[in-house]
Amino acid sequence: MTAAMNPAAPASAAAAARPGEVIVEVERLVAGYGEKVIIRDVSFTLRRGEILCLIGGSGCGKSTVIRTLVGLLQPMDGKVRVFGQDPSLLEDQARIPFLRRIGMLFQNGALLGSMTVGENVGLPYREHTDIPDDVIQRIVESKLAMVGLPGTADLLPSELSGGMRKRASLSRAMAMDPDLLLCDEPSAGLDPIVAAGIDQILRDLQRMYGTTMLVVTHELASIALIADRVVMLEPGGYVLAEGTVPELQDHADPKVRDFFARKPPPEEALSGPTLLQALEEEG
Amino acid sequence: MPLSITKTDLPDGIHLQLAGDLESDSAAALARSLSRSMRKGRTVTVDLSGVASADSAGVACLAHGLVLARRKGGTLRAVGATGHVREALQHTPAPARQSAPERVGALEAIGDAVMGGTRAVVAFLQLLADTAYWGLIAPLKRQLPPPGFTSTQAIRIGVDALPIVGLIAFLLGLIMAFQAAFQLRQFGANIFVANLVGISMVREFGPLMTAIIVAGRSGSAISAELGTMVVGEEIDALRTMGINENRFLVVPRIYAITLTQPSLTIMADFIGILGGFCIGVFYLDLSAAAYINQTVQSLTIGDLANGLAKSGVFAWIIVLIGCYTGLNITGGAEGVGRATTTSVVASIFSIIVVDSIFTTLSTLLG
Repeated sequence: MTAAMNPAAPASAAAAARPGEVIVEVERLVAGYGEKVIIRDVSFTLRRGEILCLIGGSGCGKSTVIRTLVGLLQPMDGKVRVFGQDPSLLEDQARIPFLRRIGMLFQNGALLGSMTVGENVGLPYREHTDIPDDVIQRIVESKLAMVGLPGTADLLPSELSGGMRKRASLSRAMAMDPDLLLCDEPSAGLDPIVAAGIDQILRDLQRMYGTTMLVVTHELASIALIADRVVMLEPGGYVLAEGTVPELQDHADPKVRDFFARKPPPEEALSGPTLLQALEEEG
Repeated sequence: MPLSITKTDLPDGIHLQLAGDLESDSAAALARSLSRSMRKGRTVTVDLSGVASADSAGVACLAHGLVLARRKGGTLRAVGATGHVREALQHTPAPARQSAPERVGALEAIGDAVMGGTRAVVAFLQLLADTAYWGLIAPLKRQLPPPGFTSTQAIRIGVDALPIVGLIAFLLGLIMAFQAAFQLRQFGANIFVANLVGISMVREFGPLMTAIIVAGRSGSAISAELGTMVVGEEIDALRTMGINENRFLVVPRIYAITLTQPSLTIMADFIGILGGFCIGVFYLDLSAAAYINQTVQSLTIGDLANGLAKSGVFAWIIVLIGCYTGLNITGGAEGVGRATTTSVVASIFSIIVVDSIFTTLSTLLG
């Protein structure tokens, strides 16, 4: 599971330095649910082999961005291109080959509860290829071993702990060796050691297969470990800052600097009058 | 230290001298005292200088007093807050001045309801069309639902329902025969119990009761299962893997119930007739051969076909409504509960409506 196993794979630094093919292109994206607009103006590009971290407080629309990339959500306005295609306009025939190139890790795993872990991981193969079941089982074993869950293929998702479920879900997301991996908070709610393990797996994947990744997270430790570049969203659905971690650490905007310096935001005075003021002055 | 409230009438209003701890145990007393003192145009002064500590309930009482003062047109003032108490009051926002709540006009409400209804109908028709495609046309292109799914569902929807459907059908036959026996006996027409039970079971009660039981058992289960999958993003996960959720989840259930529902109905018909037979033979002392003979003569293939056709339609109603409510839930656990209820109520209602249409048509058309 190290670079030594696949010496031909590009090192991450090289991949980041060499401007590669554009994999994801988002321009002036506006998106939301029903009448509620979550994303108002988000633009970024993601190049082959890069790990881009999408950060920002909760409710900024990080997950919304990811959902538009796989066509789960129609953008209200703006341009979204993944592998040069518009995910919201794909016909059924084109959709499956398109989606086979993308793996998605959901926030809470989203393993199918009625199937075993192994069936979950092997599902994309069983659905989209005619590979015999025995071979699929070998693939499943190797994918589960990669995420450190050997021998769990016959368990049900409900028999796994939260961290194990996340890792099983990751192995399903990368089952078909996708070119693009979208991760929605891969390490949220996990203890730091398990979280670091997941970060390591993501790093290894990039090193071994040159997988391009978009990772939604707000764990500083993860960002420091995996991010080639970071896009920071702010409430209301705008891009606050974009750049490498060192660039953002010295960013002109104090909100960005404070995030990376782990400084809590300045104590906000209560907006509007306090009860004390009202009781002393209203009379 | 418990709170003591000393009330003094002064020329400039009412003075409440508090001493002790302003905490949840004493909050009710303060709230009462504030609401009793507050009048239009009156100033109530609360002296907090003797209060050592205040918790959330205590602070909320003061906020409540302020709202009361605004509502009644009086004034509430607090003086002498120090230390922790002052700190607490400083970190609590003053209650917002309330504006009248926005009222939804009748026209707007009607409009919303129509829009919502239209959306629901469109979504249901989409599900219907998609299911028809994946269930009827796609198999011709060798795109079948995953192997094993249909049989699993057939066992859950059909086989597992055997005992309860059988028991209820038996009791139903028994009851019908009993009721009929009382009336028919007066005319010495006991043997016609066989006609009555046979025809009612095969044409109406067999299909109807079976459908109602399956709607309660499986319609609710389908709705809850799919609803939980929506909440857990499992449906989204299927979509991102390029798997059509209708082919994966709806079609196996449709196939399964299309097989099991007519079979269950035939079984219910038989067992219901058996119930009538028991009454006929053991209570009315008819001969077994005569009862069976009478039943066979009274029934036509048309009756059976009519009942089975109905049972197929009921089956699709149950699965489609269960899947629709499950896949379109909003909200979390509470949404799953609502979807389950809607699924059962809507499918039983639709089953009865469709049954009455069937019966009317088949009676009118002979």
